Amino acid sequence: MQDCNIVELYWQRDEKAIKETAEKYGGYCYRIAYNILYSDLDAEECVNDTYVKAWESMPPAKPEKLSTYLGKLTRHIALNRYIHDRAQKRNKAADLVFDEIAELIPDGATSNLPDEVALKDVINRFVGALPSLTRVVFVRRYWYVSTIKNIAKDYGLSESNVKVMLLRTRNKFKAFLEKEGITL
Amino acid sequence: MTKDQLLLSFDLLDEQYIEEASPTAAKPHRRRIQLVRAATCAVLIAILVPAILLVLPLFRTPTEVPPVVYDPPTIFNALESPELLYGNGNPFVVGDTTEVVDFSDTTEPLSKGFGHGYYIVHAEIISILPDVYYPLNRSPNFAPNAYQLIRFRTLEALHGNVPEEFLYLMPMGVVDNSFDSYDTFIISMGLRGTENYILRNGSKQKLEAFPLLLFADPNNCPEIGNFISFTDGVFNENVFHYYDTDLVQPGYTVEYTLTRVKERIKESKQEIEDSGYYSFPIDILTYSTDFTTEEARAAFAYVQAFENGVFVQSICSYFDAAYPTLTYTRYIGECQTEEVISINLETEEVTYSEVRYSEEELRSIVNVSEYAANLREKYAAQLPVPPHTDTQGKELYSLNVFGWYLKIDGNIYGIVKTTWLYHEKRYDEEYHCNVLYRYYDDSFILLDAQNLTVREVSRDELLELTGGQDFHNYIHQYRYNYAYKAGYFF
Repeated sequence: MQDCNIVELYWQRDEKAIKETAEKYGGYCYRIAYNILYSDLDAEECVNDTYVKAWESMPPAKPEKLSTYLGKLTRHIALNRYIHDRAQKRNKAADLVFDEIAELIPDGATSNLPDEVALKDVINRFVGALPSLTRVVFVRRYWYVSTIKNIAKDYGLSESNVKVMLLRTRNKFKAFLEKEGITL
Repeated sequence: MTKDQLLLSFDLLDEQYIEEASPTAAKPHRRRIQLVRAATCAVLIAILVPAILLVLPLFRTPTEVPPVVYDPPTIFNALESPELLYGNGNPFVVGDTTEVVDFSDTTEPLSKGFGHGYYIVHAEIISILPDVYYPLNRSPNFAPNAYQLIRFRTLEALHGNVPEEFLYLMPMGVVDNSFDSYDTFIISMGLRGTENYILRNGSKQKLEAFPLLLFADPNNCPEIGNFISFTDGVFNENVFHYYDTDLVQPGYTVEYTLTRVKERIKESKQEIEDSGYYSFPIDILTYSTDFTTEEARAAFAYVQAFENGVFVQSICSYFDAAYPTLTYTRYIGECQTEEVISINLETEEVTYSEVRYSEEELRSIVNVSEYAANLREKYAAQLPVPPHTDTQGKELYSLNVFGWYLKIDGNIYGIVKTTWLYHEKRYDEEYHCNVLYRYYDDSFILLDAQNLTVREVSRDELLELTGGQDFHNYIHQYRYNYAYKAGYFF
């Protein structure tokens, strides 16, 4: 079923919307959740929460790209859950991603959030300016929280290539944020 | 800003970048290889190789182990109760999450159904095999789905190189007495294994290899429209109540439905080509096992020789044309080991896992399969009590016993795990609907051939033994007494 038809089912409050969503995007959402939570039950629960959030949010939302809309919901739910549960349950793979991200934050940084609009603009300009391969590797790592191994495999790179590429991109990103006046 | 906030803020990324990097999107370097000749060869080999019933002779002199020193918990084998696994009609309950073990190596398609990229066939039933089967390389943390095998004859291959005859892995509970009254089926399916795909025959309690190519629903969910069945040449919705209404409606003839399916395949291909993205290759990929290098030939011969143990084959990323890799995992009995051998079909590079099991070790190894089987029998006599779960008001959904091997510092250990899954349905005030909750529980038994002991161990003890490693992800910690949401009923 086409995405627009699935969205229409949500708008009609037809429960078949969730069946169709699960059928078409269940695996996609599960993968995102599993990368972060590294637990099949937790990931499955997270995907179920995604369906509920989708049910609650459509209407009024009418996403053009259902996959990324659901992916964002899943990622958000999974990350929040991971942060909440981190003390009890470790996912070394996800921890590594957090640690890499932490490199971007200078010591003594405040917990103030930068302006979301400005941050969105900067992140997207930075990512958009990257060479295509670097971009997908960067997004796979920090949006999909994919492992280095999987990224390397998917893009025909060695794991050390991916690590170096990510390191350089993080350094560039940090410099770019500073240049743009985004203080983390 | 904290690192948590920063990682969350990546949600602000534009959708185009997210979609571009999706694990299911096209890879920039992907090369499409179509080895049709090789496919034909593989099919021929598969057909010529006789069915091999594998009674594993690996325990010629099994090590004696003392009996368990505690009152053994249970055994009710929920595997024998398919109605518990499939009979509730809840669309969210899947019984197990099947792709966990292969997760990192599997590229699932974004969409399913009668779309592009799948094997799509118009076929009729030759026979329904009477036994019950269980997959080996699936996450056994929950009760592994029980299957029946249906042998089909291809009437028309609508998409993909579907052989003249093939086997279809059908979850138990779907096939009933009325099943063979259908004339024909249009089936959208994924390839599960190539040559000598191995399943555990639950009826005969042994492993079995199949010479025919074996297909299955890629997502193990037959209710969602992968079958269109016909009686007297007209669509019959009785078995599969949920189907793609865009494609077929009651009253449609098989001829008309076939035309619509073909149109759908054509449209989907065009749609994918136009979009520049594709979840998996448009054309069906097949691979050659006619290796040119000595290294690859030797590895292939080694994993085919069953006296070396049973190597269960899987194709990593068979939707991904970039790095088709045959991966073989050694099983001893029905129990997985860490020994894995991979052959890259493109480069013929062979990779051996660090852990290997020698012939000498196999001759004196503790028989974990037998121990697990005995435990199942005991459980069958009396239902076991889960160690961490208050079962009041909850329904036992599945109970499973399985084992695996671990080699640590030269010592080989067997581990037998019992898992419980309970269900509970409650009304959720927040969402104003009924919610199905699941409760997970488990226990472990360590068979230590070195010290001739068999004892119950905690997860922490196991992790200490393995140095924190969880090779198969079987020691993974689920929350006890925690209500996992499994589905909603609006």
